[in-house]
This record gives sequence, structure tokens and C-alpha cells, in this order.
Amino acid sequence: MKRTEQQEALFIDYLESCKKLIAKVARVYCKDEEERKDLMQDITLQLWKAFPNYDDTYAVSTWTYRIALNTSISHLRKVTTRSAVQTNKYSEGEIMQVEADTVDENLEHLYRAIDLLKPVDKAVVVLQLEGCSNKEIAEVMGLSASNISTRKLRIKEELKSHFETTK
Amino acid sequence: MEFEQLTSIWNNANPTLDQTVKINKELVKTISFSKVKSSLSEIKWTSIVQIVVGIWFLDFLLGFAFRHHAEPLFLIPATMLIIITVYSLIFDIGQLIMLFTINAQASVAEAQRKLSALKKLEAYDAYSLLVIIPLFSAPFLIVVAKAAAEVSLYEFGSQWIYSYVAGSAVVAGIVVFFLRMFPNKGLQESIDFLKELKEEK
Repeated sequence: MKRTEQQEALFIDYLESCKKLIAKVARVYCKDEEERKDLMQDITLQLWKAFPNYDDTYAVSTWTYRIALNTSISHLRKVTTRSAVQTNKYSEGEIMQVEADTVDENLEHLYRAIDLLKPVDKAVVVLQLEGCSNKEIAEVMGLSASNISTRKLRIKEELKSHFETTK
Repeated sequence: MEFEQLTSIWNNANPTLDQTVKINKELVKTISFSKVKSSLSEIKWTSIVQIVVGIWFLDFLLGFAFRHHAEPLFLIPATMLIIITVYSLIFDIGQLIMLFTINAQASVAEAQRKLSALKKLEAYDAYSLLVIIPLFSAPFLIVVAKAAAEVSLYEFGSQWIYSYVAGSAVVAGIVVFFLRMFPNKGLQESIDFLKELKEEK
């Protein structure tokens, strides 16, 4: 499908609105800076590819979370080198660039704690921190709301224990 | 520490990220959809080629079986190969369907379950080849020699065939034993991941 200028402009606006989420999700799933850049590129390209087929039965946020998290989990798991959601690097530069940012110690501590969680639990915690309700998290994850509640309790305990031991 | 406190730390990153993450608008404008080569298309083509070759081979085997339906010595190996080819075709078509239905827009559980299932299929595919190749090589040689050169390998005596099949069965058995003892790491990870996606109560 040929992209029109209007679509490109819409996509840029949309990307501007979700760039922080992409950067944070990529940080949660990739510690390595170079790998993180690749992941951000992958997420952006997946969003770009899916943009014309946006399914409006879901909220834009649900749609974005699903693509970002699916791409990140697959990237992390490296399910296969021929992964369905993996795309080749775009060689002409980076669509999303991150300039050197200031280090927030609390945030780094939080990232380190999240890093200890399993891939699916990482997704749940990201959605929780983004302010999603159990129902919204369940919709993004494709799990039941009660499952999400149970997971959240366990995740909370794991994070708590991490923060206590690293005090 | 409560989620509320963590959310506040999480949101504190927003103003910084607003400043530090820049979108290369020019690059977005110049990207053409065709340039974004998905590696998915490569696996799709591999599967399609496998299916086409499988159908061609099945057609050849059915013709061979039809021509030799009165000769059990050739009909039996041809039937064995037909069965394994049909099984392989079903397997390849199943994989292709799964590939086409994987969608990054689907829920995390659904998309990741399919990817894990695909990984399992890929591992089983590799496993089955290790068993199929030794077990079915004798029937394959008998059929190909007859079809291509009108040579009956039975003319060289039947002892070698029995020994070959028995030897192949032993090799296949050893391979299966080792695969069960030391399962493929990727397969084990996929199984573990599927467990992780299971509903918690």
C-alpha cells in the first residue's frame, strides 16, 4: 500500500505521542544501549507497518501496547532468527534517536528491579506503571482480569523484596 | 514500596524523554513500505517451496504406486513414502498457516503462544528429519532406482535391505533417545514460556 503524505504526517504525530512509551518499554526489555536502539527501531517499524491496518475496535493505547510489548518480548526471547515480528535493520539511519539522557537513580533502580522479572510479568508491570486498569492490562495481555490481579500481587512481592534487599 | 510510588518514579522520566527522544521525521517520510523487508517473508517462501516440492514428489509417488500396484515389493516402499510425504505436507501447511496468522497487533498471550508453538514445530520438524532420513532412506532408494533407472535393488539380494532397515531403525532409536535425554534448548524455552503464559489462580 502506498503511503500518502497525510498518513505520514498522522504517523509522525502518533509517534510523537507514544515515543516515551517506546523508549521506556525498550529500556525495560534491553539493558544494552545498542540493542535497545535496535529494539526501538523494530517497534517503530512494526507500528509503521501496522498503522494503516489499525483496528479501531481497540483503543489506540491498547493497540500500541500490544505491538510494543509483542515486539519486545519476541526480541528478548529471540524466539527464532526468522522471528515473525523481527524486521531487518533500516540501514539509512534511525527513525527514533535518543540523545544522552540524565541518569535518574530511582528510575535506574526501578529498571533493575523490573529486569529481574519474567518477560510476561515485565509487560504487566509496564502497563501497571503506565496507569492501566486490570481490565485494560487483561485486554492487552489476552489474560483474564483475575489472572492479572494474581500476577500483580506476586510481582509486587518480588519488587518489594528486591527493594528491601538493595536498601 | 507500593505501585503508586513506582508509578511516580516511572512518570518522572517523561519530561526528560520528551527532550531526549527525537523522531527523525525526514526518515519516516522517505521510508517506503517495500524497503521494510520482513524476515517473515523469507520463511514463508521456504515453506511455500517445501510444499510445492512435496506436492510434486507426492504426485510422482502416486504415479509410481499406480504403475506398480501389482508388485508389493515396490508398492510397499512407495506407500511408506506417500504416508510420510502427506504427513510432511500437513506439517508444512500447518506451519505456513500459523505464520500467516501471527500478528503483532494480537494480544501478547495470543501472539507469543503462536510464536512458541511455531518454535516447537520447528524443533519437532528438525527432530523428525533425524528419524525420517534413516528410516525412509531404504524405501526411497528402492523407489528412485526403479523409477529413474528401471533397476530393482532387490536383484542385489534382500539381505542388505533387511540389514540397512534394521541398522537405520537402531540409529533412529539412538537419535530419539538422545533427543529425549537432551532436548533442544530453544524447544525447552518455548515449553517453559508457554507455562509462564498459563492462567494463574
